[in-house]
Amino acid sequence: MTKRFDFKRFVADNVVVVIFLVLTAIATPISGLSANYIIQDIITRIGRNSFLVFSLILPVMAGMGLNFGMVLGAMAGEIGLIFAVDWGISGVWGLGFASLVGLPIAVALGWLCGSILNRAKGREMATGYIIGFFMDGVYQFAVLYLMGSLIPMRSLAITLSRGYGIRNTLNLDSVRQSLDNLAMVKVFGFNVPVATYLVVGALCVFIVWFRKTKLGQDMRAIGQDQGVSNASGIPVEKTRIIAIVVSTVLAMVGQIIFLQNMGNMATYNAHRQTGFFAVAAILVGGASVTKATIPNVFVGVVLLHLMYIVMPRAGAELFGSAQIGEYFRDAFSYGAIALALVLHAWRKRRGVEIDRAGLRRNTVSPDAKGGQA
Amino acid sequence: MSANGTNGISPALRRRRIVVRACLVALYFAVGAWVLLNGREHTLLLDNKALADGSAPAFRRVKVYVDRHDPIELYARDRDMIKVRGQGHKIRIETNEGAERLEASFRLAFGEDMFLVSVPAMAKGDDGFCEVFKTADEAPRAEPSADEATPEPTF
Repeated sequence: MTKRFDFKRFVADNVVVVIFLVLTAIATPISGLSANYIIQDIITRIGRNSFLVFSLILPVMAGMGLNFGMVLGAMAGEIGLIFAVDWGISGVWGLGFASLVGLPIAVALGWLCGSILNRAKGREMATGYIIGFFMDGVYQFAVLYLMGSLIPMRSLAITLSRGYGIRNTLNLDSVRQSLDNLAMVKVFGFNVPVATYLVVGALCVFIVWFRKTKLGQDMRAIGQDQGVSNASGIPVEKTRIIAIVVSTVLAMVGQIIFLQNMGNMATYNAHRQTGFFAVAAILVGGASVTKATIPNVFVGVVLLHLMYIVMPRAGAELFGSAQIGEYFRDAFSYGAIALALVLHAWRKRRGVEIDRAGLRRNTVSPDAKGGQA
Repeated sequence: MSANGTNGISPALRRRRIVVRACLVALYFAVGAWVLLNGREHTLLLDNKALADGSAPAFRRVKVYVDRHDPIELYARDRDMIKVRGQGHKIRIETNEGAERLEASFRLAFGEDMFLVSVPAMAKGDDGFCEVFKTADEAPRAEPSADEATPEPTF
């Protein structure tokens, strides 16, 4: 028996994606931007942002929700880049060096974050968000006071004139777009950073492979039911910590890829919005707190950044001020997160109610629960 | 957990785990050192000025090749800059004027950022054609001599 396509149901399941599609479809012609400009910008932004967004998949798989604690990984990546610039390690070597420096920091921070989240089961997202704020303070202390005083720094160009602390903005000229330009290929008139795409592709392959491993299966089992997983011998807490450690390490590499594309780094602010933008992107792509896939990442990055590109110009064309467009895009990004979280809570509650009603009648139709949670 | 605190893992497996972890740590440091040495960037100042002792004049026109970088054309008293990675490098010159040596290899000290490469000295065959260059900010300040020292204030 074939199922009939239910349009209302489809829209209800993908309401965040549909809202963003409608918004961008309206804003794109108003912005007056050419298709070539938009496509080129989207190609660049996919390479720049998707690695960061991918770092959210494993914690979702392990039932820990969206890992707002990924900013810890972003901080580790930034510390790596500070040392790469300080030591004068340039090009792709500089990115490799930054990753190597950031790796133990990301592992340690991920382990710390995972251990704390294990003590806050059921409230992982809010806890992760607050851990991010807490570690931001530690990061600022380390970078503003310890670097140059306790931690030796070589370069006068990056230290503050007082002799210790790192300048507000770090010039990343030595590693600027080194990965992007490693293999820049022109396809139909568009510059495609093939090396960056290959790195992202390798991560996709890793995630697909990882899901099939014993550890990946354990994470999926934990994501479905921690009690049953524990009873069946899966080390729940250890597996959850591993999920967060891997996510933090991926966020570290993602932040390095992001910053090499930008070419400069706001030393004290660059990581603050990282978690928010990555979470917004994956939710806009149709993911939920309990389910995230590789297509969700790409759809989300394309849709969110399409809005980021066209909204300021659409605002300028409509209201005579690009700032209005900036307000729009911020409001809609936060709105996407809020809507996705509310929908998740609503679907969960509706599922429970339907289960209860089904138990009373002794029959439950899986379709009645509204599909994916 | 077993009574001896080994979590039920056999000693052989534990030993193998320790060895694998030690190898991973060693690999991490080895890759770190390799990246550090090969990725270190240095600035070369290519200088086409006559030597101070007058033993080699500046070239009127010379083309300088460093590694696989694009060639740099220098005229008399010119100085240009090039950034290189790693410690071992090759320099080659093309000129219609006479030169005792057209090609040379040289190594840069890891800890130094900037070097001055004298093209006339290299062409003359002088092995010390590449020397460390310090900017005014980096150069250590000379201690004032007794004569220059600030005099005691007199009232």
